[in-house]
Amino acid sequence: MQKTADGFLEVSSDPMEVSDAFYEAGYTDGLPIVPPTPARVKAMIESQLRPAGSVIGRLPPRLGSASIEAVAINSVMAGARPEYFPVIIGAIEAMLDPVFNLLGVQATTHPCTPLLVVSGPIRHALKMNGGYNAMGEGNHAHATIGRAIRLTLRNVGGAVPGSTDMVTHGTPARAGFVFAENSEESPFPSFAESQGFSKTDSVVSVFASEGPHNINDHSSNTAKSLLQMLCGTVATSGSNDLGRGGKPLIVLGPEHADILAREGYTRESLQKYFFENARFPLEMLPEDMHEWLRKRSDVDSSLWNKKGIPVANRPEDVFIMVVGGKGRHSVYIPSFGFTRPAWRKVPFLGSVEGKPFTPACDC
Amino acid sequence: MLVHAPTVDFVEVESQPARPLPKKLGGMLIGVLNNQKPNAQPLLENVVAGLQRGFDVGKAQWNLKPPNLPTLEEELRALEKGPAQLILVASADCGSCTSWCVHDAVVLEKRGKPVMVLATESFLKMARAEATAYGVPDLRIIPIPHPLGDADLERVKQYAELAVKTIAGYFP
Repeated sequence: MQKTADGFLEVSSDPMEVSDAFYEAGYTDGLPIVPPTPARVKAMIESQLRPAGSVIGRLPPRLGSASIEAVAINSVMAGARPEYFPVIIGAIEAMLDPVFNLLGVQATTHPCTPLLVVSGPIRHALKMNGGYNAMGEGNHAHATIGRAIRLTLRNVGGAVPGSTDMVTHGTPARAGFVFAENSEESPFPSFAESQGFSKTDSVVSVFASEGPHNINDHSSNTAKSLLQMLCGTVATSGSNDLGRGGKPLIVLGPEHADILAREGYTRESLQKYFFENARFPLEMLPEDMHEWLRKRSDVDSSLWNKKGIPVANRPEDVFIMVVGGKGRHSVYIPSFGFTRPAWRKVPFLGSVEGKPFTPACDC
Repeated sequence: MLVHAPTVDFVEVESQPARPLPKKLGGMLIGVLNNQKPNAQPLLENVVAGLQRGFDVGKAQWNLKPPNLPTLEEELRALEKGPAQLILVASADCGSCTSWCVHDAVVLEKRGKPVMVLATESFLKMARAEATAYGVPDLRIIPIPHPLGDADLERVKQYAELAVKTIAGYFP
């Protein structure tokens, strides 16, 4: 693989040989890539209205410039289709919101990774999945959008594990962690609506998250019983959410959500319930941890009470959405802690299956 | 076949050299930015105590930062405007805390204060890459053994002694 004077790479015409060369150069996640030919990159760029050289921002830790072209190249490599590109761009913009703490996320020893949740009509246009196996395999958009984000963070941000990305163990979620909301089966307004968007808005939200942890509850028939199970799973001693201003994401399966809704719970009353009750008892916390947290100026120990240490500093920092198929399961997605989720509206005119995607605006 | 390269040029920030140190360590006023990681406090206390014993430095100010987030502006301003002639930042012994130690050290350097970051050996490579990315490639980074967080006080004192020797080495 040779670099040409104008910055291109001269490679074999065999895609597998290109994959191998890119892998050896440290450009990939280990899976084969789609060669980023000029034609494929051009098609990706033309799925939105910004020019190729427009810079979204600089990605830590090495502050590489995330131009539209650089993100497009990595999106092509990931196998993403051009119509996914506005979601990828929106997610990168959201990750660059200072509240997200992308520098911390990229560098930390903690196994967090950007989780993308897509809401609104674009979910259907891109055939995304908010139902059965929403967090699993088998969806082209989920797999390739998540992979495009990871490759961009590696190649443009310069986050190389063991060198400039110090994650101790990593997580399978780093390969790409993307799913859609199941607002059709949610008894509550969609997550995007809860953040001020309208039903017709297409939105991508990013969370700095661990992989998902299942909450199996086949026995609860009352909200009280189910909430006890949910709180007991969320309040765990090894989670970054505990005591450090966490931003836990609680993904209710539709059946669990129905149990809570039929007894009158709303998203807001659930947030309050989790804030007050998803607490780890002080007497069960290791003494060293207890002492460290109590001393820290950034830990608000005035929130601690007889029920224990909370997983968030205020009710609105507990994030709740409905995702998944039938079955009596929900999911706790622990956060990095030192982060806030961020979201961006994705330009989208409407869903026309099989026709080229047309962005609504240059926003 | 021609394809695009997926990486970008990482060296684009306008670089500046690290702020010059005062000519003599003796009598200098030291400021501290403690990120509150386990053992950061005893490490910094013992480094300052060692500098006081060996070189008669004065402790000017002691400021705190969150471990995994940027330092609050009011703390940065206190260090920028304060009397300290050299600021010690610790401890850079994990991924996000190293990144934010280096980031905040560069902010202080750019505002005119010489800074030294105490980083454990396992995080030196990242600390140097980030110092370069943020525009002070020769930021002074004081290596200490890893791990720091689980060390008993005796070991912390040994690490502090090593750090004092390295710091003193910057003053011929």
